[in-house]
Amino acid sequence: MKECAFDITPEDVYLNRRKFMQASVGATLLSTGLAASAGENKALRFKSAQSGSSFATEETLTPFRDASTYNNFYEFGLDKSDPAKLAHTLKTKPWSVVIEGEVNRPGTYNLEDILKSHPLEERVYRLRCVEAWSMVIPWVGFPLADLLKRFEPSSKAKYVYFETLHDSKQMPGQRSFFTTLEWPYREGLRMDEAMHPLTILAVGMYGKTLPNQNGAPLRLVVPWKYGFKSIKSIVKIRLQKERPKTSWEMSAPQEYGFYANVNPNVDHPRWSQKFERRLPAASLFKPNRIETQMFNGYAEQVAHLYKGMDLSKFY
Amino acid sequence: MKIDSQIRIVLFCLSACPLLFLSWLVIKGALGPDPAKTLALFTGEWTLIFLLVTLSTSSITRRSSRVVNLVPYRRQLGLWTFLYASLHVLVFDALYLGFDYSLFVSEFQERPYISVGGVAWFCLLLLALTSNRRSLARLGAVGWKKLHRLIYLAVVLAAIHVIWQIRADWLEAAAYSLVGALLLIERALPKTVVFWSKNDQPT
Repeated sequence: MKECAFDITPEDVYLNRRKFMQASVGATLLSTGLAASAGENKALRFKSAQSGSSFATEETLTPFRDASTYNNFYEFGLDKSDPAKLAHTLKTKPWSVVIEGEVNRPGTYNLEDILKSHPLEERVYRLRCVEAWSMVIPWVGFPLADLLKRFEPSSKAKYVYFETLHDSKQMPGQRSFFTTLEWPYREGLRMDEAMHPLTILAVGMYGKTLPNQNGAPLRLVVPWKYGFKSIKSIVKIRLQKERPKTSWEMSAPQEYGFYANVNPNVDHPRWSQKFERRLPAASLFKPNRIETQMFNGYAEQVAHLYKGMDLSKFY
Repeated sequence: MKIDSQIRIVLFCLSACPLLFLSWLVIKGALGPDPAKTLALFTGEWTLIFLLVTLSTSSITRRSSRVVNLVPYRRQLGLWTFLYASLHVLVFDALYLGFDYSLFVSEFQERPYISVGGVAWFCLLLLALTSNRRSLARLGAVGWKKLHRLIYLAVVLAAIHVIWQIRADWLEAAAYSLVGALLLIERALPKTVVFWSKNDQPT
């Protein structure tokens, strides 16, 4: 395999990381260094987002370090700090994506070939986790709609189904006996949600290729839905007639629905969704508690998709 | 110095370690981007550990025919449990709810795992308040013993509090509940069942 900047971890960075990991036994709460150093990831060329539009909030960005060391990616462990420590085992090159179902051009495509025809652009989105914390992240990617159109969905395509890589050799979390999630991780969108201009496939953030723990090499970003909808490390995209079952829905259907739209009026059964902690906290005693907005602040753009639907029923 | 007081001091130092470690993280600002959550998890986990350790003191004493007598250290361990539990409650009230009383009331009413946790803390409060010799004298040995059976309720409620919060991982909840259940079952076993007796002599 040809080596490129993307694969190389300079030895000194690697050694520092080892040293850090040894020092941090018992101190895993520390969020220093690790795989987070942006230098390891390749700089991307992209069109900057126009600030002030719905594509780029002007809110303060979450620092790269926090966005890349505080992750929910259960394939690499259950602690927020686990993915940053363990995701280096994920091999993102070569990477292929299966596109199947109700499309005229199904097949297994090399990621590089897929990406060739999509100019990259920046989107600065709020990310609201269902656990009531949030971040502001500058993604680099392209509209999912552009990709779907290229593969020519048929008229039968009503939903899009996504799947994360399932390989317990690369993803230690998938070997855990104690998880309630079934692998591979599955997600889905209704066709109109998938075709919405806010919905993107991201290949980078903060101007560089995605760190593994953030879902490299290809992930979904749907900013008006809870974070778990934005599936990471995608290997399969299927267009289908029926609504797919998603991982969290399968695990706890009374708590996680298919839609998972950010909604301060519909609480999670076990906690309130009225507020969120915008990370990072200003200090210990200033957790940055802010009110959660309907559709995560994207109501103007997406509310019409759910007209007439009882959102407390279709949560 | 008697060996007994030496053990007490060692116990005190050990029990303070999690708190010192936590303070060090706070001072260093190393709690990560979501310090409220880090603190809540940390104090919650240590509460569970101290609760089980406290509960195990009389079990070990009983089943070893008092060869290992841990009862003298039970009160200190119980008070540490209460301290970590109180920090846990404080973190929730202050950092999650921002001392917003109306939010506190609605959370308490609407979220059973929070009410259950709150009741468990209240049990621990009663135990802590009556942990001194004066209360023992006032309540009488029988009454005091009866009251202090509240720890069984606290253990069960804490288990429910944890089980109710399982999301993707059930290891911790299972481990806590299993040990807690074993310690409760032990109390129902006949007193003659021992793993160590004073009469055990090498033959």
